[in-house]
Amino acid sequence: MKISPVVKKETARIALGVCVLSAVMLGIFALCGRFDLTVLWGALFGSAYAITNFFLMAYTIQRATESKHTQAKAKIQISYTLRNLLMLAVGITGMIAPCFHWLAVILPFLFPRLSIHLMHILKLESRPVSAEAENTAKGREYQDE
Amino acid sequence: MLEKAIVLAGCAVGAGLALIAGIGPGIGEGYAVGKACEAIGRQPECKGEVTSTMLLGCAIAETTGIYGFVTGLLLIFVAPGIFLNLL
Repeated sequence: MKISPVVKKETARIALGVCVLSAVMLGIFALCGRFDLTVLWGALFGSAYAITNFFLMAYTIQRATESKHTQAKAKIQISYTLRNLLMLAVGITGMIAPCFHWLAVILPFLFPRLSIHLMHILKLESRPVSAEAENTAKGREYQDE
Repeated sequence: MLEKAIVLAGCAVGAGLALIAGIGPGIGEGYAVGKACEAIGRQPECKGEVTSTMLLGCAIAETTGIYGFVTGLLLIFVAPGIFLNLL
């Protein structure tokens, strides 16, 4: 299935936010004098997972919106469970593997939400509903109902 | 010995309780996407906007589960060492 432009755009925005926040995190580690190669690898691992998780979620939502209401629910719930299992694997690997700093792996999991909030604060978010869509005949009809 | 066992058991039980936070976002996301499908069915022109808004909403909702997961990981891997040092 083709990946929709909305999914590509949002994933790119989140990836940018995660990269910026990871750079900030590495800077803070450096300021604290705790920066070493394990922190760098951990940040790369955690950030890569955070971006992949968002992309998988977006792709599942794209697929779900093209299916029926009940199927959509089931698809999202299955996807959520599988992504949680993946997160468990990534989290435990980050905690156990000596080549990763555990905090640098765990913190990027929370960066998508932080970047969404930052984009909202900095007014960088896309408009939720376009004027074109609001003004369509079907849209007005739906609003009248 | 008994104190150590109690600390480890407490951490394990706490981690299990923290992971309960993962149930809510799954149900919520499924419900939100179901409603989005209905909305797109009624107004297909808005598909892009609905999907875009829902993506961000789902990402935010999912973080609640991630908080619980991170708490659980910390309780299993980090907290026992700290608490046992305190004893």
